[in-house]
Amino acid sequence: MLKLALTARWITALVFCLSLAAGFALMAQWQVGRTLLENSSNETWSKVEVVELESVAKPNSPFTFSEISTTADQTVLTEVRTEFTLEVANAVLISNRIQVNGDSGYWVVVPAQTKSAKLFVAAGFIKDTEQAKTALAKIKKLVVVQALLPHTGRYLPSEAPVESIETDIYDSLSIAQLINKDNIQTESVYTGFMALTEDNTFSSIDGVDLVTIGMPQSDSQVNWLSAFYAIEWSVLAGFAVFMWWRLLADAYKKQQSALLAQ
Amino acid sequence: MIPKAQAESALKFYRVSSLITGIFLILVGIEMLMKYAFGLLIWSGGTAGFIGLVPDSVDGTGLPLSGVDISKLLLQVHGILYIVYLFADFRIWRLANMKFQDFLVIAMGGVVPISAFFIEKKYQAKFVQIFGLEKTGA
Repeated sequence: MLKLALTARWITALVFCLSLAAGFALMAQWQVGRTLLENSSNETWSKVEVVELESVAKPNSPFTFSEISTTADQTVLTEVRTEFTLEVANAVLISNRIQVNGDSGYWVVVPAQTKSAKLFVAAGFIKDTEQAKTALAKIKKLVVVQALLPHTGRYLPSEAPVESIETDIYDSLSIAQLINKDNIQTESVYTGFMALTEDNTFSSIDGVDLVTIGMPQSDSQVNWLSAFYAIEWSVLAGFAVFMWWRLLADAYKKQQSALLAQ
Repeated sequence: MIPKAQAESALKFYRVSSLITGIFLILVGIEMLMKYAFGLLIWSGGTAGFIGLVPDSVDGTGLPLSGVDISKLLLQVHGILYIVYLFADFRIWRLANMKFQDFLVIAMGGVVPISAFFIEKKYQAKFVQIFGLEKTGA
């Protein structure tokens, strides 16, 4: 079979199949690159910068703020600062919240009135369900200073609405859903929400911790479609070589039977 | 002469694979039209209901929190089916001892929407003749 494989015709075919396989392998490598590219973002930031919320976001406008910017040597997290009055009577709980340390629980989200618009504020994290309900009841009755006070936090995009079963407990933080709750009257609202990163009015209540949020995450750290295509291209590359070998074996068999016939 | 059973099984494998891949290719065509012409993804579950359309999103924000991205699933399933189809193509092409162009034409059937059905019809007749099989219905 080796003799047959070394004829010009079969060597040409091999070169063709190998270059085809090489082409497919390059495609596979390209897709592997795409798979890892989305995963290569840093784990954390190296610097925090605070800007005025009004300078980066407008009420009733699409969310375009990007929290993280990278320069040559550092990753900058941009936090926002603004002044508002909390409207505790309309506070709600958002379930399925996960802290950076892995704890899962609830966020207390409170509507707030800034100079110009409503802003939803994630003010605290509570791990236990019962404790969360008790804390919410307490928070709703809190007497807060009716003045615009400065606050700093992360400004994050709204989530898609999920139907809620219990009153005052939502499964996702959807501004559109929260703004439609009874008793909230406003014409303008920020389309993102603010997660307070410093101690606030609620921090002293039993079981209420500060909300912690890690690096902003893109859709998927691993692009599974690309990973899948990478595997597929590799299979095709293997197939190109297999094809050459199978055809050579066929030709060899034919040659042998022809020799036998003579 | 190729054993009749082998030829028949290769032909059946090719025809079934061609039909399934052809159907999925049409679905992929619809998916791509939705995505690139209208910016919509096909989604099952979550806020989309059993099957529905949701706006595509570059970074994943705004997509339903639960459910399955049917658009992505279609691409992956078609990917697997196409590999199987290529193998079916190779198997029958090798048995029929045809030219390399024929292999490429059949392979194209899994990439150009709707073409699979015409190619299958044309080649089925050829294979039946080459293998000396009786014409089968359906």
